[in-house]
Amino acid sequence: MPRNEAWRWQATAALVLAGLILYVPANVLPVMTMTITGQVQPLTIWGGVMELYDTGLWPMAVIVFAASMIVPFGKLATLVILLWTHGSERYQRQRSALLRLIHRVGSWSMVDIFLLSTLLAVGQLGALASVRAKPGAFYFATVMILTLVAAEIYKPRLIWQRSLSRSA
Amino acid sequence: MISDPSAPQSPTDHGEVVPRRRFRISPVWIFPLMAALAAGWLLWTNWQARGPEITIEFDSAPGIQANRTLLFYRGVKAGEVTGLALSPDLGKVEMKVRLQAFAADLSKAGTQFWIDQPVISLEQTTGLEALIQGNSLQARMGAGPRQTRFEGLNNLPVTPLDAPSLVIRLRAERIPFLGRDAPLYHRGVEVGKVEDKQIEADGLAYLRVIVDEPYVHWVRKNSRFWILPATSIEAGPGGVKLDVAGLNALVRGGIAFDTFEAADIGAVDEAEFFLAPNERSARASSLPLWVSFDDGRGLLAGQTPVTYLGLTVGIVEAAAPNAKTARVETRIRLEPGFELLRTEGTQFTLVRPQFSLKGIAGLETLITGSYLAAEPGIPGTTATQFVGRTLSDEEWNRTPAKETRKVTLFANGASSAVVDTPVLYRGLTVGRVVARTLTKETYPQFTLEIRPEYAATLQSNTRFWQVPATAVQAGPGVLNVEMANLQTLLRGGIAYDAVGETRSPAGVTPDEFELYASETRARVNSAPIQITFGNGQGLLAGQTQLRYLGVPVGLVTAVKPSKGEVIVTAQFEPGYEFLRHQGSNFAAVRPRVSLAGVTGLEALVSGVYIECVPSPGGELAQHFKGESITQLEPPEKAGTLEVILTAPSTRISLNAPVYYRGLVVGKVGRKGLSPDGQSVELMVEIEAAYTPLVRENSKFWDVSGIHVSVGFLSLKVQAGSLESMAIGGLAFATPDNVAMGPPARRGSRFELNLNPRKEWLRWDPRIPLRSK
Repeated sequence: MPRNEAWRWQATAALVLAGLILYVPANVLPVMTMTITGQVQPLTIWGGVMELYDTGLWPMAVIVFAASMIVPFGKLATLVILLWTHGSERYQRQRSALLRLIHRVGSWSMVDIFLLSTLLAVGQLGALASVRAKPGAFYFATVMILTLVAAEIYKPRLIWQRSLSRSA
Repeated sequence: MISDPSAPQSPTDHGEVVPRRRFRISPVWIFPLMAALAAGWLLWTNWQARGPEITIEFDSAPGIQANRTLLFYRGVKAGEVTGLALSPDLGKVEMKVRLQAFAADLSKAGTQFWIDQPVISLEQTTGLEALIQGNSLQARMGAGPRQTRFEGLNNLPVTPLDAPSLVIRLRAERIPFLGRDAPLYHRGVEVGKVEDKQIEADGLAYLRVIVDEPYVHWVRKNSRFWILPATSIEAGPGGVKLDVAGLNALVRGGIAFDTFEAADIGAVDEAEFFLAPNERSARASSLPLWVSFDDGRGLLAGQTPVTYLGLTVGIVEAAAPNAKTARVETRIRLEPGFELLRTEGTQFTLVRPQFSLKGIAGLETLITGSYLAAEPGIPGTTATQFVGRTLSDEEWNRTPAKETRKVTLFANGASSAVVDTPVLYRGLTVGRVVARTLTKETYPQFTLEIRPEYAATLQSNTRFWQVPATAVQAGPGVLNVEMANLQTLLRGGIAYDAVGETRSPAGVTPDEFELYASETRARVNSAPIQITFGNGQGLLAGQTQLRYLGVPVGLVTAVKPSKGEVIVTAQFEPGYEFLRHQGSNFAAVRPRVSLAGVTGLEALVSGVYIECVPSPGGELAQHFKGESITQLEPPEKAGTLEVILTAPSTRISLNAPVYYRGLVVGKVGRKGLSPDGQSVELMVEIEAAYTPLVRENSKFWDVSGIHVSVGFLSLKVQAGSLESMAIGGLAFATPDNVAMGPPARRGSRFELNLNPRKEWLRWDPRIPLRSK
């Protein structure tokens, strides 16, 4: 159904674009602030990775780095590639493999938000320390949801279907 | 949809595939639009919340971190430190602070910035929250035009919130120990603080003092300020006075002010006042008088008081020798209201201690310092120049010894009284010692002179005793320091009073008396009794008191060991003969300190004493047997219930409390083995009011020590009182009404359990208590 197909392409593209726009504030804004003995420490995602690395928890740093920087960016980039090559008949096998990969990775994309909500619950020590979520987390979560939905809308068959416009 | 419904249809012709218009805008594009809006809105609000960035210079910036330290204004976050750098010459710290938009006014010139850090010193403790929260930047808003560079304060300002409402300057030649934050008092109320202390160009010391807003109108143009010393001991003709203005002032001192005359107009900002060294000189505000002396020894400018009828009414402000006249010229100021001393003929006498072969005069000035005694002259005249005189023996000599009553005293021991020692009757000096000799038995013998007007106070039952220079008497709850007056402070004295009821008519009194060592000794006059004690520890002849119901009624006059015992001789004051009845009980009360408590505590302070318990009647006796106790047992209360608890063994000791619902209702009165030796028996006394609580089915358990229980999410530590940890404790519960059983009887036996069962703790019976 070509209308469906065109709509899917457009919807995916729109969501990816929205994701790309929100990706900027998600990384620039702090996702949380840790207040330890009155010293307010805002942490962006990258700052959090560095903080973990500095404190010697480098395996954690790698995980967070992978989950919160590589994965969302990778997903957005992959979706952009897929949308770009939409209708082409080359590398169809590889492209559908990429799409499957995105689906699989997608289930891990909320790991950061989960981590943050755990921290929020645990890190309430009254006057001594407190953790607060900041707008960055909201943007980050939105980006992840957008990529999830986008990857879901863009069906594998769209890769294999010949584009009407190209066939015309 | 593949085809247009209007296209022709036929089985073979499926129509032409018409590509639909390719870029029809799908509604999903609302998402990127919203995303763009959200991101844009965010940027905009962020940009809008940013105020100007300012640079503040500090000498040092302890505990300040870029991007972490916040700027607070009245406790509200108003900005953030964004950068920290040293100035090029490394002499300053340049701190960049990004203000928030609403706080942009903090960039007005005159705004003061300082670093809030904890200050903990003897004098003050501030910034405690900074201990926990870290240092922060604080600001007080100024009012000038906007600027971007500021000079930070290196000290906390005295009034952090508002600019001071009134700043005055106090000038003095010397300002000892007063400094920043020293309080300003008006009639005892703290109304301001010292902000700064400096030496100005004219070489005088200045204090800048901030007066708090509500009190500004009390500062008048003619207000007078003086230094409140941290602690002052003032010895004057009136006695010794110890002043501690308050714990605050105890450490820091302070400044006080008041307006002694009719209030003038209010003081203006930066008004200058003279800071007097003490209240007296602040008060003495009259026009100066000049008095000249031929000898200025003992005159102290700013300190020597001027007295009128013994009361201070002014002060010597300045004293300097005059080379031309070869006299000492003093400038005097009087307090308002003593104009009568500014009259012609006013006599100023400089009183200072004089020792001569004839005796001592002006003795109190040894302690109080010299003073100027003034006597007013002719009323209605006015004078400002006076010729003063110094004290001379003729003028200050005592009353002639013509009509005085002479009395001879014999002392039984050493005595510190000397010639001129005052003789006191009920605190009044009525005479003096005129001679001191030795009797044939080489005991001191004194001859006293009593002034004729007091001769009638001598009775046949008069007793004389020595007044020590200073007596410190400690009793239950009091520490009594007695200083009879300044003269006795130095020399002691001899006092007398009538003892007992019978009084002989005046005139037939004997001329010879015995001199007792102390008042208590002089007042006890009953026949002596003898009490035997097993141990005489702490019992002192002449000091240990006999008390009846806590009131001193007698004195131990001698303590003598004999044959493994101590025989204490004691005497009662008149009126306590009933304590000598046969069968009276005497107990030496000594303090005891143990983990379980302190008893007889007052004896720690007052020393051991002997408590007397009279027997109801009987003959007067002379010999008694004493006992030693550590605590006065309250008289046995009727109606207590004694029950017996049995346990295989227990740590609970004597006097351990018995709790009911956490309330002490009794104690363990006795502990012993059961007759068959198989268990321990505790005899528990339940107070009369609580006896109905104990029923036949009550359960007792041990609450000694600490109970620790660890649960999944909890650690519970239960400890009774400190006392129950040391000597153990018992608790009991009684079943609900149906099952509680009849009230326990005296001697009922119960089992002592190690731990309560859970249901015992849920029991909730209603038991009417006995009304007391």
